[in-house]
Amino acid sequence: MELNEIQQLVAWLEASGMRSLELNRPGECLRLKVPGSNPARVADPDGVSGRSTPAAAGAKPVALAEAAGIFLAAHPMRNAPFVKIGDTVRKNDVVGLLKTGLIYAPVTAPIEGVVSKIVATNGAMIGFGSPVLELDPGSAG
Amino acid sequence: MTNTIQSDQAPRISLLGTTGLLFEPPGAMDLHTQRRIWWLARQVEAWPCIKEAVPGMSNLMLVFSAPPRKLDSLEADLLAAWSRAEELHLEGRTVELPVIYGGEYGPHIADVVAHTGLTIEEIVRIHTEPLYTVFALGSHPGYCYLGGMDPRIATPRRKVPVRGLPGGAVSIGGSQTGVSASAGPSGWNTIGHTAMSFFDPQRTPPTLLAPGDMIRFRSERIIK
Amino acid sequence: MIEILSATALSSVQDLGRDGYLRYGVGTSGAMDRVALAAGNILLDNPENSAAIEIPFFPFEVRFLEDIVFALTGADAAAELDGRPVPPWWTLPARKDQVLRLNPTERGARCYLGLAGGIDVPVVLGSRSTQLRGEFGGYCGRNLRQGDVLRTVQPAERSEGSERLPAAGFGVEPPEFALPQGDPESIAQGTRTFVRVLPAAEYDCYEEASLESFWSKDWKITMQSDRYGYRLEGEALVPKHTLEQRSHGIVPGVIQVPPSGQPIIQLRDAQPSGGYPKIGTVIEADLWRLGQAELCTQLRFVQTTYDEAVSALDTVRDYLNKVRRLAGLYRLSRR
Repeated sequence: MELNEIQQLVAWLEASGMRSLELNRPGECLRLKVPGSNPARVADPDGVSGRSTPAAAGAKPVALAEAAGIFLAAHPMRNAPFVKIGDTVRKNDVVGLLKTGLIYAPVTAPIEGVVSKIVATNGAMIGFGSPVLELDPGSAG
Repeated sequence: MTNTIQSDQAPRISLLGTTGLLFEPPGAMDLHTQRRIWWLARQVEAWPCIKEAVPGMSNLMLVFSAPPRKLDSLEADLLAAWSRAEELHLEGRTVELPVIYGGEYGPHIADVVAHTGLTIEEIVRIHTEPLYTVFALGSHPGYCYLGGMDPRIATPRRKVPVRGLPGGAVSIGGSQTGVSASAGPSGWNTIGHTAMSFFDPQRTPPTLLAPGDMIRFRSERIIK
Repeated sequence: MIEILSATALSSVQDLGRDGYLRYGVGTSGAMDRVALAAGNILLDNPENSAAIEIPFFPFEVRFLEDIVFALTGADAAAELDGRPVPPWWTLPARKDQVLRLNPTERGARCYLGLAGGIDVPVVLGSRSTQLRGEFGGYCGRNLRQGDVLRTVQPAERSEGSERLPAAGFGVEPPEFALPQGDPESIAQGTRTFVRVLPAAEYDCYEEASLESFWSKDWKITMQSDRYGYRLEGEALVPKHTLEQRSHGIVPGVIQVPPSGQPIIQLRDAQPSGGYPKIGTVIEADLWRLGQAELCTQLRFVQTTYDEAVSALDTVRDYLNKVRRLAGLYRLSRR
């Protein structure tokens, strides 16, 4: 098992809200335990980040990272990013990627809205729950 | 001048990437050599790293099930087997094929005339005289490579392959002749047409003819 | 179940290929990019050899006739599901009546549309690949047409993870980035493909200057290139003497040189035997790169050794194994 696979398992373990994981394969055994009392964070089965950040009144809806990984604003096969400021996105649209090893996990829009700010830096390692972009609710124009 | 290996040389073994290798023994492209190739194919197809043994015209392609780590020992084994190879006598049945020569059915017969200096009638007579042995199948499903063509009607393959020849096309390529079993491209010179089904994927084996069977062409009509 | 909506050209049902019938004149057929087909199946938790649709020309549209998970790998066809963008190299659940549209590719030559369970067409001579010459296998032995309806294999049991795919799906890193080959600019632009070649039997029969050109110059993939073979254009290769071969078996990747001197790379629908001289063979581990090299782009041949070529197969296998492991873990983590 390689280091980045273990890192990925750690990230998913945190994201899933489980407290421990044991993986057995011929010749190897891996046990991971989440220390302390992290609040259970159950991954939304629809993969939609319905959460907003703990908010003061008036805080903007934010697309959050569902996993840890390297944020990619564009798919490597493309030059243009998934979204730019001013684009209207619908709920569940893919607005970016989180790359962990070979897996590209989607960052999705929590609601229909207009992209107002791209928070995450392209190519940066971001953690679970980090904000990726901000939206103005509703559609443009 | 051709690329034939002279009789006093060792067989040539060459790679086809990591997918297989080609075994080409020296000497003439004749029935004696082909029978030894059939024998070699039977031996080799049972070897552990070999997925399939595919006879050609006095040669044998080996397709690997996995690329052998030690090519040298496979090559040595192949040469050793060849030195022991006996003629495998596959006595098959004889099939007669009625052929319409020339006209729209033989679009390249003029090229054979030009190359050989023979008339169409002479070419047809020479083409229909022998009893041809099926040396191997290849090229497309059910296609038979035949041995025994008279070298007088040999005509080089076309400079540019033709994209759509019909099934049943009777052709000459170099010193070989054959019949196509379905429509498709070919670099050979088409001299006639026959109606016959050579392949059925639901049958076991799927081919009508096998190495060792024999074909006779019968001239039904010559169109000038 | 899906229905083909568009009047499509040259799309066909393929799996990894038909093995063991070369001696009957039956070529392998199978996907031009077998890595993309296998990866799509892995994303779907299908057996790696499940049949999918190979799509070389666009636009291409299908309607889903039931709820089903699909995967799109290979070229980037700016895909849309009911008008909403689908990233390349992605798996996603579709709902009944949704329409998937593939547009002219931004990058790459062929897409593979896989479905959970795999496309269900009869297995003929051990494979579901389409054998056009001979008209058997695949969907009725022919390319797909508007109105065709394709079913999927209903598996006896499917692992729980594959039923719980999140609505936005997920993807994997395409092999052109995971297994890069060539200079950075060629990789970024996608206009030049590098493939490794082992010399073949007639390699030494060519003039020195020709061998020099073969390795160092670009070869253009002409418009007359397809599943039968890629016809290349470049400096004509000149043999030292006339070559007239006996018919012999060939495999996908063999580079034949007809008298014109312009090489033709024999590919998945090529005749399984031939008689033109062979200068080299593109190694099996790089055939997928050829499958994604677009018409009118450049090809460059890279000299390699047998051992390196065998090792390259291991590298491709490692990539697919890793995709399977990580995709499995990702699906588990989403439950």
